[in-house]
Amino acid sequence: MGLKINNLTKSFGTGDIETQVLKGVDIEVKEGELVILKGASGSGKTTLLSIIGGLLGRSGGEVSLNGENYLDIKEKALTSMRLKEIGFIFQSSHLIPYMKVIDQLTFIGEQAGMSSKNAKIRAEELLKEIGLGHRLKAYPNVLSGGEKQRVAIMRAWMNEPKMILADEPTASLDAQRATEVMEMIRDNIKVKHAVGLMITHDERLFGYADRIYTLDDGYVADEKMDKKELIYN
Amino acid sequence: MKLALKELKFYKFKYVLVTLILFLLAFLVLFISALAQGLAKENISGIEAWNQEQFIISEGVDDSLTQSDISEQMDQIEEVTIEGHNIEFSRNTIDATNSNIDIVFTNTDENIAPVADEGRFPETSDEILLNYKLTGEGYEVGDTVKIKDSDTTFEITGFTEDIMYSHTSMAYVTDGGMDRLDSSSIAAVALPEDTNGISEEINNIEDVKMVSNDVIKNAIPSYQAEQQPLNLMIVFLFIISAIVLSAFFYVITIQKSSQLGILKAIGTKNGELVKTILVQVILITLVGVVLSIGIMFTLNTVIPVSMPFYLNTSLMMTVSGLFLAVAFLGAILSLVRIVKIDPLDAIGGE
Ligand SMILES: Nc1ncnc2c1ncn2[C@@H]1O[C@H](COP(=O)(O)OP(=O)(O)OP(=O)(O)O)[C@@H](O)[C@H]1O
Ligand SMILES: [Mg+2]
Repeated sequence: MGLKINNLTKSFGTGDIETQVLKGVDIEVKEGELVILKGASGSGKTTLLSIIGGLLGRSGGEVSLNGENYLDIKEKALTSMRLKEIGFIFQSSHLIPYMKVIDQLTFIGEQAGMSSKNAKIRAEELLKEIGLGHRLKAYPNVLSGGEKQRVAIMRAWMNEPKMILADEPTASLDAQRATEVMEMIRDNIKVKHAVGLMITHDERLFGYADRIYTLDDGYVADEKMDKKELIYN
Repeated sequence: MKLALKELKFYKFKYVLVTLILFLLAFLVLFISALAQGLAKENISGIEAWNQEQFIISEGVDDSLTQSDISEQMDQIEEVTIEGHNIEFSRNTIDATNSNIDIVFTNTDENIAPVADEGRFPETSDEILLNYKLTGEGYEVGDTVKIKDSDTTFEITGFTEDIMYSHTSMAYVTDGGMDRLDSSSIAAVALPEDTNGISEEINNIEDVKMVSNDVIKNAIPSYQAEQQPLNLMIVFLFIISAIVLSAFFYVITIQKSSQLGILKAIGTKNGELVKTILVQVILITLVGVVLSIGIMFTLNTVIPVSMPFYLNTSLMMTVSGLFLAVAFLGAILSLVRIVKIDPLDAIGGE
């Protein structure tokens, strides 16, 4: 169970301008695991994450979450899947400027069918958990970068997703904030038995991962090989 | 819905501003419409008061009621139909306190004559009922009006609102009253409708033809000349409103493209976002239009009777409805944009 990716390929363009970004990616992330994906700029990390998140079509291969090949379902169902079963965390928090902190979460919950009362209870719980209990009524523009990102993380957790996809979630944070946020993401994944896949370049965060994959030339290699390469050099 | 209202509340200034613009546009549309209707009334209300569809008039008078004289053909017309209502016309000038006033004296049978809004209808040959507007000249029931350059006088028995023909007030007198005027003649025979298809027979009578209500109205030169430019202005105001609204919402939509992309990425349906814009557009339009209607009603109570200004609820309804339609039209561009936004743009970048 968990996330299984088999021989995933992705090309952009056709004919002369065709570029194959992913040539056969195999990744497995078990429930409760947090896996880090690294790789040079332009290696295709965001592309891979977008495909897994159902935002971008693939050229070939299989992706399944807990045994279900969810990528081939209808657009509407996929949107609903993104709402309920996938939690996205982006490089910048992307909070909605005109919504109070608590509403950022309740909004997501209500869309997924929660009653506004239950959504409020759950949102408060989540926000207290990350130490933002005193900022429930604040608008994003008065929050610090770290606070915003913490709200965004809890927004991703609001509907108890089975999978968390994060693209450089700590890029806009200082070192201390980055570790805090990282711990929070990892702990949540462990406690909630979700699947976590995170893109990051920040070596200080590698210690939090169960495994580290490197994307290079369209394929992934895992940490062990990476270490071998280090030794050869 | 929640999204829409929270956004309106947060960006109050921006949305209040566009509501204000819309309010001014709606106000201008309503004001010009009221003016157009007021002017229309000054031209055709006398004809509309009869509530008749067909008119038998003279040929070769440019369909003008005041120039038409079918007195000589009446025998022939009555051979075809006796259902019609004879309308007598006589254009005269009366001596008023400060100036001379042109008046179209009329007489017709009581079946199609309007009712008196104040006082009563004339019963004897020296009594007269005037268009209400002449109260603006100081006339009251019981006063006497005198025909210019003659000894003929009439005593006012009442007033009726909105009986005008080509910017000239009309006055009703009795058969006998009509005989006391020099140039009286039968101008037309009015019919509620062409029931028995007699138009051909009527048209066969020399120098006589049958025309519709609309032909008579449109033949009044000032009517067309006034309505056309005003209607053009109204049409342009609607177009401007549509453009202002679509530009405003389009710019706002573009501004929040990445935000909308994020919302889509985390699972917000297109429908939800489309609804947001629609709710906002409807709210802004309604507030703007309702405000302008409020101002119009206030204005209506202070505008003097002499001013051509006429406000009615059906006009308000039409204008409000049209404004909503125009607002939807303006929103289309933004809606298309929203649906096209790719959630992928949200990932990876800023
Ligand atoms: N829509 C597209 N059309 C064509 N090429 C694309 C498209 N999207 C991405 N690419 C190409 O695919 C490659 C991988 O891009 P991607 O954004 O996945 O890289 P990345 O590993 O996330 O890089 P970074 O670390 O800089 O974020 C790049 O060469 C990019 O130019
Ligand atoms: Mg990237």
